[in-house]
Amino acid sequence: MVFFVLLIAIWEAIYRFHFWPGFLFPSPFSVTLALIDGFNDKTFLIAIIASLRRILIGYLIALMLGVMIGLLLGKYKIFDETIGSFIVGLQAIPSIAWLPLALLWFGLNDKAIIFIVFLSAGLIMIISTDAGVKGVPPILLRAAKTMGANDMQIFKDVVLPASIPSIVSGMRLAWAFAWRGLVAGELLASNTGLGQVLMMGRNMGDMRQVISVMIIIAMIGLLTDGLFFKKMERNIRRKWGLESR
Amino acid sequence: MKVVIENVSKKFKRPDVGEIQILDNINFTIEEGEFVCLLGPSGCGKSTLLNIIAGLDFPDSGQVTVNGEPVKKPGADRVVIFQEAALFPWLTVLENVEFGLKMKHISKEERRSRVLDYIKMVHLGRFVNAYPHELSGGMKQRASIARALVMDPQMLLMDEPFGSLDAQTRNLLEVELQEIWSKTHKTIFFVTHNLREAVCLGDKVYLISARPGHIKSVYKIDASRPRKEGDPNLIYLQDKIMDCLREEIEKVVKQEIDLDYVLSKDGILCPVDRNLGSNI
Ligand SMILES: Nc1ncnc2c1ncn2[C@@H]1O[C@H](COP(=O)(O)OP(=O)(O)OP(=O)(O)O)[C@@H](O)[C@H]1O
Ligand SMILES: [Mg+2]
Repeated sequence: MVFFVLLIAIWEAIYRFHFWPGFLFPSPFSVTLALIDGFNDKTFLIAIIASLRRILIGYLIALMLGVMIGLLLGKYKIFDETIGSFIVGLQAIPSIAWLPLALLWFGLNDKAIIFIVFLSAGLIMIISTDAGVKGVPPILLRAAKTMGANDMQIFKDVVLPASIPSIVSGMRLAWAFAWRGLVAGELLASNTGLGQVLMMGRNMGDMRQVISVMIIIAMIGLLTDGLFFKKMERNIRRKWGLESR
Repeated sequence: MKVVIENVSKKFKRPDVGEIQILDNINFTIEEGEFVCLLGPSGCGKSTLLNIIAGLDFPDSGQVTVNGEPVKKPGADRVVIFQEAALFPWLTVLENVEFGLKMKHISKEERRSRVLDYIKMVHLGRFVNAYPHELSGGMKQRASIARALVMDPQMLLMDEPFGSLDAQTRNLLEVELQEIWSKTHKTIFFVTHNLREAVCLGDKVYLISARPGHIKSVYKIDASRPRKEGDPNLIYLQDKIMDCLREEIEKVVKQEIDLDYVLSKDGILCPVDRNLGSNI
């Protein structure tokens, strides 16, 4: 809290020194006004809803497919040696670099952006699920075997729960990456959403709007992480005994 | 359950040293209801042998038969208790203890009623809903003993189960284990490198030699149970076995030194200080 007050004070100070003209570097006060305006005429609300819809769809698909593929990679050597190395290769490409292809494949619409979100989150889900499966302590597998568990039971009752902390950490990371992918996609190729409103601000030379949207993006990112993902990760890690209070 | 170990040999390949013979032609029989201790210096292959009996590992030659059937895979009739309790961290004590029964598709109601008896037997009644990370080392080990016992296996394979515990807890669990054994008369194969423990618990103590491990001698222990800490018969036996064990421990020490010597001739383990001094 103190930190934010300080940040705003520094912002105001820079504004007062006139390093940049006022229209390029608006004061905190004028940005607050722009934020209130934006919410009053519903531009921001509509943009937020459009963006959240995309990210939720893309993220959920990434979650399901990512965990499934990750489990397959972790469990079967054949998949690991083929798809596994391919996926590590894919990971080297920033997901936004897929945008030109996505636009050709899906057209200039929601689907292209959802595809970018899906790629941003999906690869991370695959990799962290796979790491979770491979990181199951061998002693637990041997304990289950000696109690007469068969392969299916070992997978369902040992491998799967043992990899949950890794999957949950992956979910948190994947959300952050999905959010980045979403905004990048919307900046470049969209006619709705937060990224598009930000770009519109730039095109109209309205820096107050640009900064307002940046603040909204940061707030949503921080809130979802802090209120949901961080808590979930901590609870799981505590229950699994991975964290000392 | 009668276990016959016939001509069991085992090698491990290691990239740096090549093949090492771990077990060399092991032969012995564990009779139904017998409490057998396996004693030997560190690294001689005790865990390897236990894993082979459990079906978690396989010999290069020879075989292990259980009631006449060769061992092909692990089975719930011979449950292993590991040195580390190996509890599932995401399950409560109750859920951990019922794990094996769940694997056998026993109904939830029946599971619960059986499990609680065993949890009480190892004095964890107040911790049924605790998670493993909330337990002390000794409590974890007790939970893992309950987890094995509840399956009512014919045989318990115990790999230094009390190795990581303090002396008090260790003594307590040793007494409890003897009680359990005298009540249930399960066949027990107990690995340890603690001489006192082996003599205190076993009907028979097998002494395994330094690498390559073979059975060096067998001691039958007739002292009455429950055995007491300072029983003079036990202390006499302990001294006798100690002489034999000391030879093997010395061999292990020598093996380690030999290994260093060979390595240093290849220039791999050359002591650093020699190089530091050479340019002065
Ligand atoms: N998977 C493996 N690959 C290579 N070498 C192994 C492997 N497992 C065990 N060994 C070697 O086999 C030898 C015996 O191991 P083992 O675990 O059976 O010893 P131990 O008698 O149980 O010792 P301790 O009392 O210290 O537990 C050791 O020298 C070890 O280095
Ligand atoms: Mg061992």
